[in-house]
Amino acid sequence: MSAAANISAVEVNGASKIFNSGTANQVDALLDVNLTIAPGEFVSLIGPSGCGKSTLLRLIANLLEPTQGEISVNGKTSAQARLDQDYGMAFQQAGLFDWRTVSKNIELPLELKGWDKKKRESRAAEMLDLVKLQDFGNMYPWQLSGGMQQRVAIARALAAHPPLLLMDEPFGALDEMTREYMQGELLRICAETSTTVVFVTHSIPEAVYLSNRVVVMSPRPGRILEIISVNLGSKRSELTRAADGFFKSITAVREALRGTHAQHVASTAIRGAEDR
Amino acid sequence: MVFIATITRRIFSRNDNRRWFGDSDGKVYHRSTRIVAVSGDVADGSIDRSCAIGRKWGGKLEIGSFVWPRWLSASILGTFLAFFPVAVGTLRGLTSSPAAAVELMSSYAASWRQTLFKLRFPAAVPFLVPALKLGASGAVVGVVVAEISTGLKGGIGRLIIEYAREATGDPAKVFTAVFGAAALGLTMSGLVALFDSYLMRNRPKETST
Ligand SMILES: Nc1ncnc2c1ncn2[C@@H]1O[C@H](COP(=O)(O)OP(=O)(O)OP(=O)(O)O)[C@@H](O)[C@H]1O
Ligand SMILES: [Mg+2]
Repeated sequence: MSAAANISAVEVNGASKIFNSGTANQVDALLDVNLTIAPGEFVSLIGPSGCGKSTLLRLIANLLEPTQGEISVNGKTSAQARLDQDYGMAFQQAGLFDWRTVSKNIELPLELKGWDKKKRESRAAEMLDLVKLQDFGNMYPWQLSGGMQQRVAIARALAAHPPLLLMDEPFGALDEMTREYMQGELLRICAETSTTVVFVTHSIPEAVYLSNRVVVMSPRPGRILEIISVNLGSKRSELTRAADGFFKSITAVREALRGTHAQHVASTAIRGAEDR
Repeated sequence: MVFIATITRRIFSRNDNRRWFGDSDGKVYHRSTRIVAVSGDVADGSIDRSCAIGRKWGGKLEIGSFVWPRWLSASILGTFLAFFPVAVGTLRGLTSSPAAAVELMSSYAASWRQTLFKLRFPAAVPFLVPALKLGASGAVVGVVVAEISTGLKGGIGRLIIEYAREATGDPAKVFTAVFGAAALGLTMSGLVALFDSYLMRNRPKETST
């Protein structure tokens, strides 16, 4: 391994996040999270709703400050990484700007970085190729289907060639067919651009299909219960979905999650007993 | 705001605030009678110029060397009535950007100015249009009312008074002025609608906001 590869893409050290600390509606969202992600790795976060997956992603993106602990991205503080545009981000809603054409939407991060017009346009064309929307550059987002919009959002997130891509349930609003297609596309794009990805999802098969490692989180306060390595090789195709290893990993993740479920039920039962 | 309101009121109630007015004959009039006298003068069409009160329509406000033009009163009232719907609409629009979009901009480390120009202004446009519609009709109402109060020559407001005066002889006549005002209002909202379809030409035809 080269020296550069020794710098982790993301390093989360003992991060906790408490919202509204000290008030009546205090929420302990994350508790002592430790996670190291190597460059080029694809890592999924999975866990019950409200367990702090989005919060963890926002901490990495420096859209929130951790209450405790430290986060570094590319060997820098997360704040510096945000200023340097070391990551791109995509959410469940494509979040494209209605008043901009598809190309202009993709150019947005480049505009903000002060690139000149020619460079922006050639990069936007390149990104449109990547997400297979060459003919749609001059259309407006609301003229596209949901899956196409989501691809534009991914193109936008990747436009500046950030080394890290943060995605929060990006395919959540898509139907199963489009979803599987998009998963394949995402793997292809990330392999082509050797991007590190942190991916939040609710779907176990999606997490397993995409990831090198699946991070299973507990209900609130969110902690990492288990990190499951998925050994399906780097080249994945539709055949992967029928492979033995695929089902084994799905079972492993499901059991890890069910463990959290059992704990959750047990703890509420105990709490119920104490109340009585 | 209070300042504008005071100015407007002062303009409409003549140029000074003296309660009592004397004329060359040594007679003294109270301010309230002056207004009655003025309306009386108009009603019979002959303005007695030797009389100190109601010498002419509207007073002259002078600020330093600046002489307040008479049309300015009407345009100020028009502006005044148009201002608030537009200001409120714009403010609402500027704060309407979805939280996710604001978050996206900050994930790009966009500056406050960049967020304003690339996100907040364009996102405010759909809110601006109905505000402009209200503002346009408000402005027409304001100007016509101001013209009635100040009797500004050449305006629809003035026509309404003049035609109303002849209402006993020709009751229909006053409606020509009223229809004129209505036509003006429609023209204004038509212009706004054109502007609207220009601004919104590339927006979704059914906005959810
Ligand atoms: N800005 C905030 N202020 C207060 N509490 C918050 C805030 N953001 C998140 N929370 C709380 O933190 C907890 C974790 O939220 P988070 O959005 O990270 O969950 P999640 O794992 O992404 O859930 P989901 O799978 O439903 O998206 C929740 O209980 C939520 O109520
Ligand atoms: Mg979430």
